[in-house]
Amino acid sequence: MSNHTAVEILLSRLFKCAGTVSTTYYNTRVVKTDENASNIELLRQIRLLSPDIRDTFQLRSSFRQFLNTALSTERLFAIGANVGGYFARLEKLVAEHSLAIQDGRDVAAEQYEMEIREAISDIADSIDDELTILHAMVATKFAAVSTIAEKRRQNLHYQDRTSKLVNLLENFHFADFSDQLSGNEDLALSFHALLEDRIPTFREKLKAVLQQLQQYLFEFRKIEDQARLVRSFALHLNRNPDWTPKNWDETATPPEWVGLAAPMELANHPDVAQPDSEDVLREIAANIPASADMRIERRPAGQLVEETTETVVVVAQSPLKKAVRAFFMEAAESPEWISARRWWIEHPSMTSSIGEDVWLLRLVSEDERERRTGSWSFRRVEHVHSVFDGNVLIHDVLAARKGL
Amino acid sequence: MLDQVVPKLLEGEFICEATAPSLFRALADEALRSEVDAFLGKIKRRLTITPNGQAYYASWVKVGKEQRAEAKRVMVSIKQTIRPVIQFIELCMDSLKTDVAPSPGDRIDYPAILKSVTENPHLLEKLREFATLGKEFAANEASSNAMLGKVFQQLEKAGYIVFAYPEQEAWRFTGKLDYYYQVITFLMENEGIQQQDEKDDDPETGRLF
Repeated sequence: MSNHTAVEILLSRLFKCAGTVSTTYYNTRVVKTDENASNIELLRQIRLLSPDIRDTFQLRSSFRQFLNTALSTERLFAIGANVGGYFARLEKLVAEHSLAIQDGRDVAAEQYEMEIREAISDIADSIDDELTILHAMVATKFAAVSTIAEKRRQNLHYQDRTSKLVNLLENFHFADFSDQLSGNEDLALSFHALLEDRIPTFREKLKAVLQQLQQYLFEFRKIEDQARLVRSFALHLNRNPDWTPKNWDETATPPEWVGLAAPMELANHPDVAQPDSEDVLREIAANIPASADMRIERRPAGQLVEETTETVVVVAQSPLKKAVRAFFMEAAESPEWISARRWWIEHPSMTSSIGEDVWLLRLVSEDERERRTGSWSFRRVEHVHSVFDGNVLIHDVLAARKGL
Repeated sequence: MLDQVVPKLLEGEFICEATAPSLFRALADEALRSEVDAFLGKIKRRLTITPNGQAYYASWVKVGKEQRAEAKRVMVSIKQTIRPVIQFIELCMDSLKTDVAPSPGDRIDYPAILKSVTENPHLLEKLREFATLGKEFAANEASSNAMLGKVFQQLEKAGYIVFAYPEQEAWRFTGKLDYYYQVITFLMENEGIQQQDEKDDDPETGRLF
């Protein structure tokens, strides 16, 4: 004989069919195929699946409702807990329990006790579930639907449901139950702990939800007005592309929104003289990384690096340039004309490496370049070429001090 | 708390549930509000709350001669942002196929809007129109993502949205939206702009016209 209870067997069967249950729950139905046929049959046997149209199956409503509650699934119109029905059942059970005791039917009385305990628990759980659903709806402002009209309808639906529940909790005669159950210590304790003591809290929470739902109804009206405002203003801007508001800042009494104060740029600096701040400032200073721009080059350890002296590059002056400068310096002081060709002959130390033609051409070029600033007078001894018209033949050049 | 609230207000921030939740909740306390107001009063400012109580900000105690230049700056800013903000609100509403105007604190899913814009030529055209509102709205690329990214960036800069959920690429409208609604309500009432008639419950029907 197996040691497993019926609950354990049921759960193990459910575990085998977890995939099929999940698919059916999320798709709201499942199509029977060769792969899932055995699972579907098993789920039908344990009455968790019921046939739908065209060879499809769906979860039975009680099981679906259990999953919705367990998973806190957002439903458009969640199935409300039939709290009134549970109370009516409890009332009947308590009455039958009394009769069974009076008739001396002990077995039946025990059975009723178990069911009464379950009924009390059912009521407490259903109110709790109802509160969870309502809180979710209120917190998301009925996020499952997008239009204001739908939200408003949902709001009214839940408002109606909540107010009925509040009325039920306010008007039900709990005192009668309490009296009837007082003969059984366990049942009386269950009734007090699970239900009677919690009723005021439930009632207050439901009232708060109801108040919020009423507030939302008012807000929805405002949101609707806001949506109309946005659409109207957008339409106005589309129809009038050049429209800009008037300068309301220039009116005698500007509207409140124009008075938005100018932002200020705030910067705070620590008082470094304050001893209290020393520890914090020291910690900050220690955490400041060294600047990336600072490069300290260190000589590798164990090596002597010879210091290199700065290289001086001496550019030698060209002999031609030297000779030209010397010639013009002499000419600038000379009261008489100095012949360049004669000078070339008389200063061989300076002109030996220079051709006579190059010498003359260089002097002519120097004179043309520096004539304005130079302190010499310059003359060319030349004549026109007989064959090459426009050319001149320079025989010599003469230079002397300026003004001669 | 005063030391955290006052600097934010002086820097021109709107304190709301989306930008500074703890400060916003703290300001529900009347004693703190009075304390902040008294502090601001010393520098000719006061604590102001938007009409629907969605955000706190600092405003001048009185817009006098000295504040005229500042009031002018506010007016210029309103003129510059009035079109982009309304266009953005409409883009969000149309992308999410809702007739509910966003409220401060509402979530804006960037991927959802991008998907709608990419799939709907009409919305893409609306997104392109942002570039005509100013060079700050012009993206470097012509892709929907670049254009939408630029719009979000500018709206965040103007303080109307905040990047609240980086993992989901989702933003939130800030309390400054309440201030914006205050402005357009005033303009509608005082500049003779006609309100649209009540629309049908079905938003799809509305969009057909």
